[in-house]
Amino acid sequence: MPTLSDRLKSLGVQVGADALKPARETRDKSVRRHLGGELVPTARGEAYVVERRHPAGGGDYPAALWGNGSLEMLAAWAREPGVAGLEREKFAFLDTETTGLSGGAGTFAFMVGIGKFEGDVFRLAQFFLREPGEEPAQLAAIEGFLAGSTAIVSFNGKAFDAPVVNTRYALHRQPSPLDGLAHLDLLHLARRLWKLRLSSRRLGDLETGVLGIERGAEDIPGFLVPQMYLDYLKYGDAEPLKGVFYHNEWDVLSMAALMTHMAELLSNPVEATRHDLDLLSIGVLHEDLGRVSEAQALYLKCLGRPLEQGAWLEAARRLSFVYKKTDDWESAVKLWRTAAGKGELYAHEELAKYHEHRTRDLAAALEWTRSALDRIESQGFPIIQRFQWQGELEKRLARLEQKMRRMGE
Amino acid sequence: MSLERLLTFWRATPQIAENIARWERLPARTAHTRPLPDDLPHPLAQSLIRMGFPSLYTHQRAAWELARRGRHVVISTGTASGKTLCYNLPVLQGLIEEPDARALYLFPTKALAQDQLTGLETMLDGIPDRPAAAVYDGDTPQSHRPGIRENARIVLTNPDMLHVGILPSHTRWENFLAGLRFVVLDEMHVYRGVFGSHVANVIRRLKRLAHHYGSGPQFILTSATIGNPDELAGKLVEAPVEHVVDDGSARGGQHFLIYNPPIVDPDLNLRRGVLQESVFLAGDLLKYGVQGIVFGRSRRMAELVLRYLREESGESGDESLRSYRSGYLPAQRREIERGVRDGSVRVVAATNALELGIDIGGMGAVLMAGYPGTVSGTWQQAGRAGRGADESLAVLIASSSPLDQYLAAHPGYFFAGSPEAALINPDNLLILLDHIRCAAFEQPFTPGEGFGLVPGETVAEFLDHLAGTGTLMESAGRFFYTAEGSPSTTISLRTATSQRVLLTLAAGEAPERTIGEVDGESAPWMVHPGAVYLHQAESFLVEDLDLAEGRARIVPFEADYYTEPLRETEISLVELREEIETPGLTRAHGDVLVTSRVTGFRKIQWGTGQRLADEPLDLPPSQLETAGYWFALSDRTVDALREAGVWGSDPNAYGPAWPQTRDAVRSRDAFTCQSCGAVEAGRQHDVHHKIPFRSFETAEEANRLANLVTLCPACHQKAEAAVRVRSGLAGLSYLAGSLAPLFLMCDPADINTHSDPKSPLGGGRPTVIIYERVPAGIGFAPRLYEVHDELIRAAYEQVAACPCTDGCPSCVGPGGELGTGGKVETKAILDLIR
Repeated sequence: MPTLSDRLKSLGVQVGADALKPARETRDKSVRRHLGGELVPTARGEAYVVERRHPAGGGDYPAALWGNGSLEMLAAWAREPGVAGLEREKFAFLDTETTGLSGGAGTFAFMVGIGKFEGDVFRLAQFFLREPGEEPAQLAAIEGFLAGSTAIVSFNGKAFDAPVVNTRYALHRQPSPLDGLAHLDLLHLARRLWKLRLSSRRLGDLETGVLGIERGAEDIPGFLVPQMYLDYLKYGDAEPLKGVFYHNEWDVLSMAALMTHMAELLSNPVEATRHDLDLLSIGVLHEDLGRVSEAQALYLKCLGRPLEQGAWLEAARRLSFVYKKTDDWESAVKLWRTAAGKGELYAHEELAKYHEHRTRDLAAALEWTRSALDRIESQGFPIIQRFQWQGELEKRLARLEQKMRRMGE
Repeated sequence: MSLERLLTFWRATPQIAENIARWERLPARTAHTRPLPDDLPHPLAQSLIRMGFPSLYTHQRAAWELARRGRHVVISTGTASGKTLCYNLPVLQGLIEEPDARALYLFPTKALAQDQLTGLETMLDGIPDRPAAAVYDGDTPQSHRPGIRENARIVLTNPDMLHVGILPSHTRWENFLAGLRFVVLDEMHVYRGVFGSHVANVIRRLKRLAHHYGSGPQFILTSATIGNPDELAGKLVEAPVEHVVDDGSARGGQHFLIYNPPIVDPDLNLRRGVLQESVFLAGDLLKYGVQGIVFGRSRRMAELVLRYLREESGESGDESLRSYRSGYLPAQRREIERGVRDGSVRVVAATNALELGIDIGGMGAVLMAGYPGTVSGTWQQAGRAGRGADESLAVLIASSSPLDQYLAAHPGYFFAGSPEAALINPDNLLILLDHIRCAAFEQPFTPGEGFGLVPGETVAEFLDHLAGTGTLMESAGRFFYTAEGSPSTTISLRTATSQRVLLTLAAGEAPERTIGEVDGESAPWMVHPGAVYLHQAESFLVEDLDLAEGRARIVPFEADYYTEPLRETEISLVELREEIETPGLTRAHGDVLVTSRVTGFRKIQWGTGQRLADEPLDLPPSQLETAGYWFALSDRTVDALREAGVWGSDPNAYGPAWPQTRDAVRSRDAFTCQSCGAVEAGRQHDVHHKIPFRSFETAEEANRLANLVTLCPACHQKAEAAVRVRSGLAGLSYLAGSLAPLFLMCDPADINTHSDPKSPLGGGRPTVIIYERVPAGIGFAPRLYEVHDELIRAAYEQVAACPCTDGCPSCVGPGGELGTGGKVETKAILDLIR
């Protein structure tokens, strides 16, 4: 009687080499030797947890994990106003490592790293599955660890980590301990703050570009992580996972460091950064949050810095509109004249509008409109932009000429 | 009455009337209604009255009563009999009564789900706190999805989306699944064959997860008329299902005509093409102002019908003539549907995309350009004709295929016979393996857990297999999925094998792009290196084929030839299931191993059909283990054939030089029989063509000395008989293979036929084999074993009635592989075994 595997093989199923079945003892021995965790009892069995403590100042990790910056802006941006006044003990920094990057009920979090402050100590626990069947214990241990927390901090956790964790609890038909917690996802804010300056906003690149630190050689690139765990299950060798633990630990630590850095940057930008471009980004952020006077001060600061021309003009443009909105026409006109001299079409147009409607100097308005039209018709002007501007400018030109004729009559 | 005038004209016009093989008038039927149920919630009753349904047809009422008693129900009444209401009514009532209850509607296509949502919304209008209904499929924007998952109480989707997009992330559907009270499978008859076998497993997975969340949904199914709706429904949901079949809806009388296009070449039995004739008859519909649909079997056919119709009408952009098929954008479809409903579209050329439940109202006439493939499908298309109590017309225009010609010659089969049974085999090993993987991803298996009706012990074998390959891991007594990514994304419900070969187009500087795909099994003969491949009427040359990578590289190509693969096939026995000896033959079915190799290909000139060259290829053989049905001629049959007069020598004209050639060969062979060694004594020995004379285009080629051999009369007769048995066998295999779909309700592409004069399956005897193209099979082979007598009878009737001289596409095939038509030989075999 052929076995099912034989029959499937004869039907064309590619069976491949039979997986090794490492004995549980061999594997556990390897885990003990290389990972250095301990078994924590829970109501659903023992969970395997690797725990490390870091001083809030960083310790082995080369950046501060907590500082004096206010969380107000972060909270406002995340629309979690309650978070602004929280003590640091209330935050849980969370990052998961999973068996797949696309999600679904069969993708599980074989490692959940969570860090939280206890006084001056940052306590980082990694809840690891020596095998998938330990998940109930893992989930129970996580629930216990999160008991005092009221906010989650993550990096892309809204789209990835939180749904994965919630799915695991749902699968066991239990409420997720993340339910009802505030959630600060640093990725979105990082995108806003460093879009201008950095080409990549992955956590590792922010470490280099923002925090100025480097990971060690033992780090594993994230996309390799699922396969490394599946290999561990297959072959029972835990040593390669050390790199995964390192990776996860750094992810969690860097979240804390990044949040602290963001808080400082946002509460005291001029002191906290050497990068003038950051000032512009923070200015825009303030403006978007309706803090116009803070934005104005930052834009003004930018104009005094050696920014490259595009960014400088952007700061000027934004500042000019703040002036316009606050009826400071004199300052606005000054900026527009400078910008117009550097070929900024919007400035020509604003000056035309200004003269048409405010000073009623139609000749000047006509001149600014014509100079704008000359500019878009000049050689080398991007044709798409020409189409965008042309209609509006020609309409204005016709209207001005008509008005002037009527006045002449 | 325009239809009446048209029919009078047809009756009176001999060129048309004499082609009508059968003129059946199906009587009108009056409506049987019953009042709306008393306990129907008031707003729902109001909604029905507002929509013009003050009462229910008897079958709607029957379905409602069974559903209200909590039974699973399948409704298989006719086209346009109001089947939708059969499920909408009890489902909406259930949702109104139980505020937490949810319903899942499954439709075979996305278009149908959209269409049904519109109908459902109309019914829901005016119902206070109406349950929210929404379509959730691949086209649903990501931003809408969370809201639908949370709030929709009726979700309309398709099995593919359930398989890939819903079940694998079921935790997001927790509330929906926990409240799942009803599952509706509309157009259930589509779920047959491979697709149906997959869908049955998707339902097993759905039930498994529903159970996990504490619900046990009730199933309501609808079906077109097929032979076994209750059996199919039972297999899909794996529970007893009540069957509602008595159709209470009204319909007018219908003239049902079978039209066989006139013969234009009597020797070759060539008839006028089905396309031409359909366009011709559709022209009469236009002339007499009868609104109609012309159903074609392919998208191409629908487009051609439209093109010719517009040419005839003289207006290239005539908007009253339209086509309708899959591949059109939804907005365009809606516009055509509207045009058909309001009468501004006079004739629409369509594929069966229009057959599936789309609401376009009734038409005056339906023309079917070729037999739709199944009796059931034919009734469904014919059902599109008929508006209220008005008379209507359906015309089946026969093509030259054996199947069509069989029906034209035996219309009784059609009118009296029962429609085909739809077969599925959810326990096909490969399909089951796919879905056990998916199910394990969705929720780890527990010890002893079954899967649908698959017992725990069998599931355990699969789990062990998957654990052995590292896909699953046993931990804490459960089997966890330990591979990367969701398996369902790589499993298509519409094919049996997941191996696919992508066709990548390399055109000049542009980056490579994929323009299509073929399944791995077909790749060696469809896209071998050097093959000319047609895609959307453009031709491409295959540059290379990488089976391991699953890629074929093609380049645009213009040439005056096409290619045909040269194949060698061997079939051996793996396991015999059943065997029976009857007079004349032994028939059997069982597991077989089909080894085929593409050894080369032939270039054939377009238009003339001339062979330009044969090119060899070195491709690895491909193997398919599947289910086969076969019959082997008994020795007595073969002896009887040998002795029968039909095996006498052939009156071929071997050319003016034949006497000299003949003498030369005899002298070369020393006047000795090259088979038994007998020397000529008195009577001259015969000279035999090793490859039959008629296989060659000229006598010179056929009479090359290398092709000739001297044989004594006795040996010659044996050799000739062998050739003839082979050619009869080939003819029989062509014929049986063509007619088999009639008994299987399957696509002709689901099966293959093979004939072998010395088959190991038949103990070295001449054998005809029909095998399934799906690995391990889904039940066609045992079914053919059962209906063997009917199949042989149909084959005999077909060949006996065919007016051609020596084989034609409508009986034993054109030419025959050995150069003779093989009609006489095929008939002789059938005569002995029927």
